Amino acid sequence: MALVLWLALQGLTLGMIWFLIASGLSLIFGLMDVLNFAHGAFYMLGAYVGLTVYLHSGSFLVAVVAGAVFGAALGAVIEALAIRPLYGRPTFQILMTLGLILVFDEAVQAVWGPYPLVFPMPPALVGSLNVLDRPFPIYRVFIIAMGLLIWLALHLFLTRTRLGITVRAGVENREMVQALGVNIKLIFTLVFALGGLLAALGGAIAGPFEGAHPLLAAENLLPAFIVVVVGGLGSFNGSAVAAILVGLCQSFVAFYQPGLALAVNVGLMALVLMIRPEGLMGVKGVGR
Amino acid sequence: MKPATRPAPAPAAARQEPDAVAAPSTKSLFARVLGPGAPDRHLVIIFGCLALLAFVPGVRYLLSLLIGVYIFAVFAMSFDLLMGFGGIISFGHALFFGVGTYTAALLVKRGHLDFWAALVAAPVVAIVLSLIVGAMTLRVKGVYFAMVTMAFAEFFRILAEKFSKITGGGDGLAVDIAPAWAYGPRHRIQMYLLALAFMVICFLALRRIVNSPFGRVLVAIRENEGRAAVLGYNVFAHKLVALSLAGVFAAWAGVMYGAAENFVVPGVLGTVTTINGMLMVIIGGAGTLSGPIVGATVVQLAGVLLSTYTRRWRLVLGVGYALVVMFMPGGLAGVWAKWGARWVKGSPANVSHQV
Repeated sequence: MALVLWLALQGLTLGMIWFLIASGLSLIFGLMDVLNFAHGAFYMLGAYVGLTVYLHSGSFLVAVVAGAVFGAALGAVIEALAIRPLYGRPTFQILMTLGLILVFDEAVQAVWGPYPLVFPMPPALVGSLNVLDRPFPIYRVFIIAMGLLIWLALHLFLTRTRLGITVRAGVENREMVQALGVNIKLIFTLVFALGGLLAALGGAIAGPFEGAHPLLAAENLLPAFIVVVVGGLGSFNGSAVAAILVGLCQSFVAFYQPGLALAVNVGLMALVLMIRPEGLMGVKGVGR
Repeated sequence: MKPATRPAPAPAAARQEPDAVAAPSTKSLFARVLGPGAPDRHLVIIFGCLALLAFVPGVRYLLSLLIGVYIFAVFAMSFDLLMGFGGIISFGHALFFGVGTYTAALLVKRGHLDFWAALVAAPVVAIVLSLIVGAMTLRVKGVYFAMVTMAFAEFFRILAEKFSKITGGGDGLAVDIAPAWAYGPRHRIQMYLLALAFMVICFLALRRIVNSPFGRVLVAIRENEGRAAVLGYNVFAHKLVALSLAGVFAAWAGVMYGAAENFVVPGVLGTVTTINGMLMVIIGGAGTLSGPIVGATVVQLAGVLLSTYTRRWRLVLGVGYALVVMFMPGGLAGVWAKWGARWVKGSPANVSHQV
């Protein structure tokens, strides 16, 4: 029983990290039909920027905020420079984001070097809790708490604010929102920035847990894709539920059958695609 | 699955009536340079010169570079069959390339078979895989296909890494795949000729495929899927066959890659391999067969040239690629069709700028 609880917590930790990447991916796709293959790079850069700022400022809070702000700014810049000229040519947008993977990969290695860097844990969060006689690192509890907090904040943003409601309306029907006089281009940039912010925030928060290394982008993009497909493109709550599901699958299978962990999640994705191609909570008409 | 056989429209006729299935874009580079009348004669001259290059003294280093170019040209052409002609954007094409390499490596290492057996077995494996992947994903639209193909390729890369007892894991597997007469640096010329012959055969086969009624229907599906379906073509079946064919040629390229390197690492299945192939297709020009060959040459040689100046040559390549995507959607072949053809033939050219 204790083991099950421990593994569940571990799965929740992973799920929360992937939720932060996948929710942005899913929103960006739902709103503007852009599949951002470079989204993992925001996560990676969040970890690197967070680490650098943490080492210079000594404040973890500042580091996380800096990582998030960097991600948001980068998202806005990428949208304006690389994605916006290619609206109406969706294939080329995908190809462009693929090229950006290459650029970010190399840029990160040029600045921070090819080797993994250790992200020191903030002293306040060192140590572990006793979960039914098993030690569970406090830091992972922190990740889970932050993930849930961000989920709540995003939920409130998307349901209670005018801007959030406009974004959701845009996911449902872009043309109609535009016809009603909303500057959809601005919303596009904002959502891309939001996606960058969420992923980079995730990278900074997960930094002390995963470290900072050039493979972060590629390693987390795949689970994030699986989460997006399982949860449904364009669905924010779907991403959250699917992230937890995929995280739990990963954690339990990795413990009992280490070689099969990823296979199970790929299998889960295949199953969802065959039975319910729009995803668990997908918005009808998105992605088809 | 096969549509009612209609005589494939002659290239000239297709160009005259804009409403016909999209103009045959294979002709864009070679044919425009060399004249549509007798492209084959000129191909013989080009490929013949490349073959004679093997016997020029003092080109050993160039030969080993070109071996890589020829092999990746086939990979890029197979990718283009999918992407440029079929409009199917796969982000896991490395899956087939890498599976080809691993099939060869494992057959030779564990099965004690040879190179030729691998050339037979690899396409079989590729077809089986493509049917599985295709059946799962081709019914849903592009984005899902892109994500799922990437997931599959990554999944196989991880399998190759985890099952290290069989595959050698991340350390790779050293295995003598090449036939004895083309093995190692001492037989560089033989390997060069083998790779060249391989590329020529694949080029001719793929040219036959894209100019066949099947190829025309594929382009029609790319241009307007709904219309092709309404005309009575089975869109799903055509896409599935395209995926299988592309997989077969990619797997062959993988086998050849294994033979040239005599070493295999899980990276051959990775996203970087896919991105490389995509770079070649986009830079060269999607929707043509000569484009990927030019693209493979540019990317492979640029890698070598740039790496002598900067360690971060892939950064330069990535930025260059992004600029090509944004400003030259037809790739080098598109640029050539626009300006070069005018220079050679004095006639304006029209080339489809679709991927």
